[in-house]
Amino acid sequence: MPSETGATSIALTEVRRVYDAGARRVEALRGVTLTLRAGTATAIVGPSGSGKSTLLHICGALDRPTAGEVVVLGTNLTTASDATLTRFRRDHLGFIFQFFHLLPTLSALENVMLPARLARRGARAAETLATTLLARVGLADRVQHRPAQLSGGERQRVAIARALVLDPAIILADEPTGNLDRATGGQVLSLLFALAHERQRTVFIVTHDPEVARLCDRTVTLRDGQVAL
Amino acid sequence: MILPLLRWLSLRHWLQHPVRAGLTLTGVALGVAVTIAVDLLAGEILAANRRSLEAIAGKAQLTVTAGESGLDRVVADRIFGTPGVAHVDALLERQLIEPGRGPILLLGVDFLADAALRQIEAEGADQEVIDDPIAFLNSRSAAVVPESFATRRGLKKGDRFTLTAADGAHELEIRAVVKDRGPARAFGGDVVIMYLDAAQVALGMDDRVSRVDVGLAADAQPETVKAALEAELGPAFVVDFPLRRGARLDQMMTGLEQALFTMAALAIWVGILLAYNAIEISVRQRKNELAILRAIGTSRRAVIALVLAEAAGVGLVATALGLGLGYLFATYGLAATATTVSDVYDVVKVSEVQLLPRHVVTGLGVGLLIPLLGALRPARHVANESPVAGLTRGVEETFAAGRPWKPLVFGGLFFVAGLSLAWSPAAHTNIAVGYGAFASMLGGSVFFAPVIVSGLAQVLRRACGRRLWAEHVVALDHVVRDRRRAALNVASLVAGVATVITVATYATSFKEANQRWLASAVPADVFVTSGSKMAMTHNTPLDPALGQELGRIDGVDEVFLVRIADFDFRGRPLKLISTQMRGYEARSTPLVVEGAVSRDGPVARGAGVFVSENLAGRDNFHPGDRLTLPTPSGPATFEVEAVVVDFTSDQGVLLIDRAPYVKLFADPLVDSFELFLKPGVDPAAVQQQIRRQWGAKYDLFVLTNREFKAEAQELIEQIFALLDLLQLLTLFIAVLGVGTTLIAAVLDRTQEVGVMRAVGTTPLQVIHIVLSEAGFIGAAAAFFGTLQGALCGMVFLRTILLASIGWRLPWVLPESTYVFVFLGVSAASVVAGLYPAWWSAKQPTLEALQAE
Ligand SMILES: Nc1ncnc2c1ncn2[C@@H]1O[C@H](COP(=O)(O)OP(=O)(O)O)[C@@H](O)[C@H]1O
Ligand SMILES: [Mg+2]
Repeated sequence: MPSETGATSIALTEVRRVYDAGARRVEALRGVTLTLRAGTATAIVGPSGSGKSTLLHICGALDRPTAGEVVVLGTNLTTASDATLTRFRRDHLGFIFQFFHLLPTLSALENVMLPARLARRGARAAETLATTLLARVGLADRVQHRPAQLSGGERQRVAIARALVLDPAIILADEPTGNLDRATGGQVLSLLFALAHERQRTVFIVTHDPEVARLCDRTVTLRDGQVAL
Repeated sequence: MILPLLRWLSLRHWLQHPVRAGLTLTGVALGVAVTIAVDLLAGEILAANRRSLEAIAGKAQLTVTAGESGLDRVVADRIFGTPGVAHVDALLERQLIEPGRGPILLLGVDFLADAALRQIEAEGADQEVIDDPIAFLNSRSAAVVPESFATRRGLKKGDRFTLTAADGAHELEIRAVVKDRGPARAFGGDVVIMYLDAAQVALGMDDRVSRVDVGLAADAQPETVKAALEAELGPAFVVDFPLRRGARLDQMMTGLEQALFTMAALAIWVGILLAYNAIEISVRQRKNELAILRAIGTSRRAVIALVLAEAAGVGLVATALGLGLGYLFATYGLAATATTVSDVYDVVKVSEVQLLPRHVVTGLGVGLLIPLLGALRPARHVANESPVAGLTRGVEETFAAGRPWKPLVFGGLFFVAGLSLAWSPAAHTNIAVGYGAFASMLGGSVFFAPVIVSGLAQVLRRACGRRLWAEHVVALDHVVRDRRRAALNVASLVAGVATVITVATYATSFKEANQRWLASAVPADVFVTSGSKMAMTHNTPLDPALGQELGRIDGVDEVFLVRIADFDFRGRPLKLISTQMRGYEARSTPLVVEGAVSRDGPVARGAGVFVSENLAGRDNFHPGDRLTLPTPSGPATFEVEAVVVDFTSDQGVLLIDRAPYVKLFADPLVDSFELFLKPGVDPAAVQQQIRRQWGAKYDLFVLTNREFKAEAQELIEQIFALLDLLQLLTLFIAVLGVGTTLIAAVLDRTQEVGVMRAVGTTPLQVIHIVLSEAGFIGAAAAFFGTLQGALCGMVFLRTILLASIGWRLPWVLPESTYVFVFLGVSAASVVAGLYPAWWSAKQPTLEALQAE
């Protein structure tokens, strides 16, 4: 689904998310309304427990709101079936996690190729694409390494390549630099933004690092599950 | 110290991780169950046989017999006169045929004689019939039947039924129904009891009986009385302990016993592997927790004690579960095979399995001792490791496979040891050496198999990595990574497959050898028997006069009268086969192992004997030796002319001419008429004519050569069918073991699956991954197990079988079984993967992603 710069990429209306953990009831999001433009980078900041991850998961088709409406790339995810959500994630979204979450048994190349192969892209095409992306993130000489043989920064760069392999319209990252030192984190982020700009992709990034937020086009602050103005 | 730890840590851990706890319990319980189930079944098959014999033997301490033709009743008086004998009871025992149903044991009992050895009980009025039998002494058709006999046939007192004997049909009338106790329980209740004199008249037995049961005086020593009786009666009579005598009547029992024993040993082996594996994994999974304990100051000793105490607790619960489960498996298995068992071993009527204290001990051995051993190694490892190291290494890493050379070297050593045992000369005579070889090879595969299975995965992944689907790449990676975790379960699957192939190799080789032997040594065109298709087992002997009538049929060239008699020789129940050797030898070609068969050699002249290969090997007979046989007419000496192949009995066979047999044993009866036809005559036409003319009268079975051979194959197949159940059960549980390993694996992999789902993997693809993994493990284990089984099969033939039975069988590979086992085990493995696959796929993505 191609997205023009300026078009609405993600639209949240009055989104609520309530966790019912037995007797304890947690309102992680209490009516979030938010619109993200395609081709822009948005940072969500806020104290721990303010609902940042929850918001990202809902935008990323990993979770559904308790109430409210989520429309991503024109698709209403509020009530979509699990199968739809899975397909949607595969075809339009790229994820980058704080703990990298690479598959330990696969090489860097295979990790990057995996989403493409699961989407039944041809082996040769997927490999070419993955090799190019790995070269682009500066890991041309590390393609055959396993995650355990890579440093934290290198692992996160592999994760970025993986997030981009199916050329998603939106890239979601949850504290991608949380497990990296400041310098490495900076490099990794610059890379992510560079790639996103090149391709005109929407970036939605959770962070508590003001430096990171500064690099984005826009910053949204959450407090107690609500957008702080 | 330990108790509070147990309460606070262990109990909580198990309660908070019910699935893990369940898996560990299941693993150990399955181990106990397979051991117990197979032991129960194997034990029951053998015990049923013994019970039946005990039932016939009653309270007798010794029994006296004299070959097939029986002994004169007056001998009972001589026996009674021997010092130490307190009671004697003469009995007639004959197998008849109940038309449309099969063999029936007819017992002729002297109701007027001393009843001290007898236990026939009836209810109410019927008891009087037995206590005061005058009423039915005069009747030739009066019979007493057990309750179960009457119920099964819907008969009651006063009803009539028909039995077929050598001379034709006999109609009997039920005078009394007795309880299913004592002799009435023999033969699974398929027993008809008559007054001895009436039975003798009915069967044309003059005053002969089959055996005399002997009860001893209170202070008499059985061995002493046995010796005294042997001295008094001479070599024509066999004096023996009832059970030992009974055990000798079994056909094929030796081979079966060895196979059953092998199966039971295998089941224990599989059980041990499963139980060990389950506990080992559960301790490894908790290493972080244990490392924390160490870090906060718990002593090594206390950590080890804690783990062992836990293992003991789990072991006890699992043993109880496993005993119940094993009992269930055995009961259902028995229900499934009861018919087969009774078909083949007609003396054996299997009733129901019984849990004995012995089983509880075995169960505790597998369920308690093995878990303690299984827990000790990882517990010591954790306790001895620095707490920091324990905390920093993840659970996955403790399963990470080390270098494969160590297990390969260990496995190789075991293998080489096994093979050298198998090739040592001692293996041909000493059965323990054979079992040692066998065990050594199975032991080797514990080290080998997991490395080979994961190695295959690695090779496959490397060789066609690009062309494989992503699901398959991930699945193969899991196989490689989980080598250590799955090791013992893979090994038990391999052991199961290897044993199936071993037994199949035995079966195929035996069938092949049997066909070769029949084709050359038993070439008649038409075979005529009564009561059973094969003369070897439970047929009814026929009158020789029928032979002359058969010879008069148009197209029949020559009729041979074959008698296959039970014959006790040097403490073994042999088969003594006799026929008109002079003409027979011109038509058949015995498979000579040693010596030469000549047209008018000693056997053809009536002065010689052919000795079967197994008997000759055991007792060291060679051509030219002289052999003295005890006969009712006194000792008779024969010259060994040749050692030949003969599969009639696993105990050994002697073949002599019919003329000396009839004379020496005073036994003119015939078990099988073998007809040779004139050239161009259609066997089917002759067969039809015989059936029409005599079939009903004598309850005849008339088989053409082709049918006879097919029947022989069928018989062998039935014998092995009994083992199929035990094998299937063992394989089934081994596959379940793979299933539990997979569940544990997907549990540990929850987060990885979450990641995959987040990047767009569909639930179906997750299922695909787990099922591919399961299928690959199954297929690879089947592949390697088959290779190993082929080798073990050869070892079984040349060691255990040779040492126990003395048959040298050719090594014939059971190709059709290969395909069946390969597909079956792979498919079963996939089925075992269904639950873990489904579980893994249904985990909510977000929760899985956040799982620790
Ligand atoms: N699965 C869950 N069950 C119950 N409560 C949860 C769950 N996930 C998050 N929460 C709660 O929701 C709130 C928001 O969490 P989260 O979105 O992770 O915050 P952030 O990412 O900003 O730190 C927190 O109070 C957290 O405890
Ligand atoms: Mg968060």
